[in-house]
Amino acid sequence: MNNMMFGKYIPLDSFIHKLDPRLKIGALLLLLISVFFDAGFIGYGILGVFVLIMVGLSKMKFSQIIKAIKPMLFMMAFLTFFNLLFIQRGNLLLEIGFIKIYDQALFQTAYIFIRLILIIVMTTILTATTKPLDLTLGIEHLLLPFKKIGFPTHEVAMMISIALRFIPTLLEETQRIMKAQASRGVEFSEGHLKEKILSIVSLIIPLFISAFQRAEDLANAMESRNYNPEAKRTRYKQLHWKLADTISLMSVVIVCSSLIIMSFVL
Amino acid sequence: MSITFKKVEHIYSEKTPFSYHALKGVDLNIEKGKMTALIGHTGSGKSTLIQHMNALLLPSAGEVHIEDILITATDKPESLKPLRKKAGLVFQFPEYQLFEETILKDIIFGPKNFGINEDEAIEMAKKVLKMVGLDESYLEKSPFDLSGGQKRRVAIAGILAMDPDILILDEPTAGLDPQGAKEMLNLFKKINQTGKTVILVSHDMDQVLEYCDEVIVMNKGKVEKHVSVDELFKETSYLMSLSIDLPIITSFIHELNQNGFHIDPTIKDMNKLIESIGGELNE
Repeated sequence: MNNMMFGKYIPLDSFIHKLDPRLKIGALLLLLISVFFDAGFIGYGILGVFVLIMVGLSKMKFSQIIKAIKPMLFMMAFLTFFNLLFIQRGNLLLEIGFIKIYDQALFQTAYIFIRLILIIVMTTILTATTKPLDLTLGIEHLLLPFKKIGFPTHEVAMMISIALRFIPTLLEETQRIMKAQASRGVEFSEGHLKEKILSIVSLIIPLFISAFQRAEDLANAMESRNYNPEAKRTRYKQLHWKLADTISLMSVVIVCSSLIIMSFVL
Repeated sequence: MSITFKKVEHIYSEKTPFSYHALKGVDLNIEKGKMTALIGHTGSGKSTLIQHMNALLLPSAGEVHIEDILITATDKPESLKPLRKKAGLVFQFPEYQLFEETILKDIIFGPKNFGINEDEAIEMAKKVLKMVGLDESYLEKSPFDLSGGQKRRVAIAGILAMDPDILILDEPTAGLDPQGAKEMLNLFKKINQTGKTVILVSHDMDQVLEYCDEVIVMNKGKVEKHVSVDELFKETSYLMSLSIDLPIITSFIHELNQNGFHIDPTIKDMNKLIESIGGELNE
């Protein structure tokens, strides 16, 4: 759990770290959208190379990327399994008893696999190179236009920043409770189903109780300092759009739009 | 020989930008049946050290022997359960670990995990609940209806019910009222007197002086001293250099001795102190 890479900020000094958070969030959105356009394996190849370049620019180690993907492996295995079994289109490739595997199923599964990995890696690049506070600041800025139609921009940004702020705290808490229960003879990775369920219960109930307790404490602390969500706030940290941001944005737009065009042409 | 550490190193998140060298070559030998205090500043490695004692953390290098069980960086016993039953660890603020519907169920959770049958576990639960100062009427109550101090007692009872040979306590009295803290420490002393090894992490030097036999001083990931309590509090200047507060009584004697008295600094008892002050004044 300590090695959890997903969503963690890694303090390095790289090109991507220095980019404007607004750009990074916008670029991620664009890239996420283009992942879902079916641009064939060539398209995913291009996107993959682009993502690899971003990883290189962010100075992250390859092992850190692998660690970010690891927690999702179970879900991927699950998806692969059901996709292979239940998609029954195209040519029959293999038949063992009642199990039939079709070539379309194989393609579909490969697509999902590639998409998931791309999404995870791209999201990891954003969270690993952007401080949670900068991230919220970026989100708040990007949401500003919606304020005119009554969207509670600041409240949403506050909620996001609180949620982000408490991810490491809750992880720490989880680890603490796991250790405490392990001292009482719980083995989280072993035992049969009934034991496993009980061990998860022994983790989840204390975790929920402490999370609610924390939420209440935080609300009280904010209220006792007279926090008013509607108050106008100034920022110590100002965002500055630089030339590097413009260039990065352009390259992302070029990659994304070529992918989308490819998906219509192919 | 109960607990032995040989050149134990521990590095958190090794090979990442977050890596942190918490234990730097710890050599240690805690004898069976002693009540040992573990003191040192926040971040000195106390919590890391005690988590090695029931293999919640494994050493990055070196050897840990807990009685006949050996744990090294590469080699650990197949099942950690026997070790965890042997060494019961009570974390700081253990009330967080409560989760069952009733106090009885929560207390027997540990023993049942270690394969003790239900009837025996219930008997044990009744016994330990009494030890921590709550009566049997609590058995069927929900642990979440209790006050903070009572929750702490129930959580500690949950570890005591496992009947560990080694009891490790991480600041068990933090946040308790003085009376409750005293009752807890008396309980641990009583358990110690039945032949069990007790290790107590504490910041309260009065507790250390009154209840413990030996003291381990941790500083910057190393064991700086492992001496008897009497010996430790003789070295007032050393303790002050670590900015560890002296126990009230020791500090009072220290002040007196700086002003011309010659009182034995190992006196722990108020009456004895009064006697020896009186003795010196009469001379």
